[in-house]
Amino acid sequence: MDRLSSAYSALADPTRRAILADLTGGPKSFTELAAPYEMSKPAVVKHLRVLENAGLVARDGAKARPRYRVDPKGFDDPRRWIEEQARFWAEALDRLDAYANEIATQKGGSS
Amino acid sequence: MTGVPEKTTVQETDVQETDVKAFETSRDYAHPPELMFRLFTEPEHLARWFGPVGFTVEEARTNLKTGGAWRIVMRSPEGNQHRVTGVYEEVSPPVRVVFSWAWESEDGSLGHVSRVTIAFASTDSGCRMSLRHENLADDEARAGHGRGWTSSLESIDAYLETL
Repeated sequence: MDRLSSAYSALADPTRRAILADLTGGPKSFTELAAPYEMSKPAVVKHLRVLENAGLVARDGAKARPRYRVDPKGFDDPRRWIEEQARFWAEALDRLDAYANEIATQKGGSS
Repeated sequence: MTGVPEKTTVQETDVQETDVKAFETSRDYAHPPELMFRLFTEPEHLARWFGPVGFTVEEARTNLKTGGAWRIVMRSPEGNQHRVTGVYEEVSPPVRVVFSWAWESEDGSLGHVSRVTIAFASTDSGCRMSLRHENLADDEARAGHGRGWTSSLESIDAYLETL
């Protein structure tokens, strides 16, 4: 899976979005992160791994006691994708404006 | 004469630059939705405007029905070919058309799948077109659903803006 698709797949899950939302308050330990959820610890670990692999969450601190945080860089690819699409549509729609007027004028003239 | 104004009013686009989930824009046209719907969906018309400035459309095909495929091949001013393809999810002329969207790479494999919704609403002077180009996660793209998952990303978007 390419990076962009990993990012959007990671974001598609409500639990992972909730974890990301929690982390926007600042870095958290695993215990702090897992506390609000009723799911098992391995399940939380799995979600964190998906977020890490997608580059949306990073880990700091000692290996045994890591602290998790949002990694803003992970959002660069999705954001760039949106910007590219935005440019595409802006230019295409400008061309469409001209073309639509041309077509309408032709129709108007021939009726 | 049908009295069609020569100029189309363009309401400037409302680009959500920091949003990671979707691009939205709208424009007002001095033409009826019926005409604009055709310009967005018929190959002979798409071939005349689709793509950024300087691009030419070499091939445009639309099988305009739910589940039907569309594909457009463009050439950039530099001479590179760009191919984009997808499947119609909803075809409701002249009100709404929804289709998936993926860029095709050199080897024919598809890139990230997204969804485009184009809607037309009649106005006194013609119509207003609203365009939404949203991202889908891979599994959702395959399943063809997933409207709504993007909505709870708002808090994350807001947070990212503060960084």
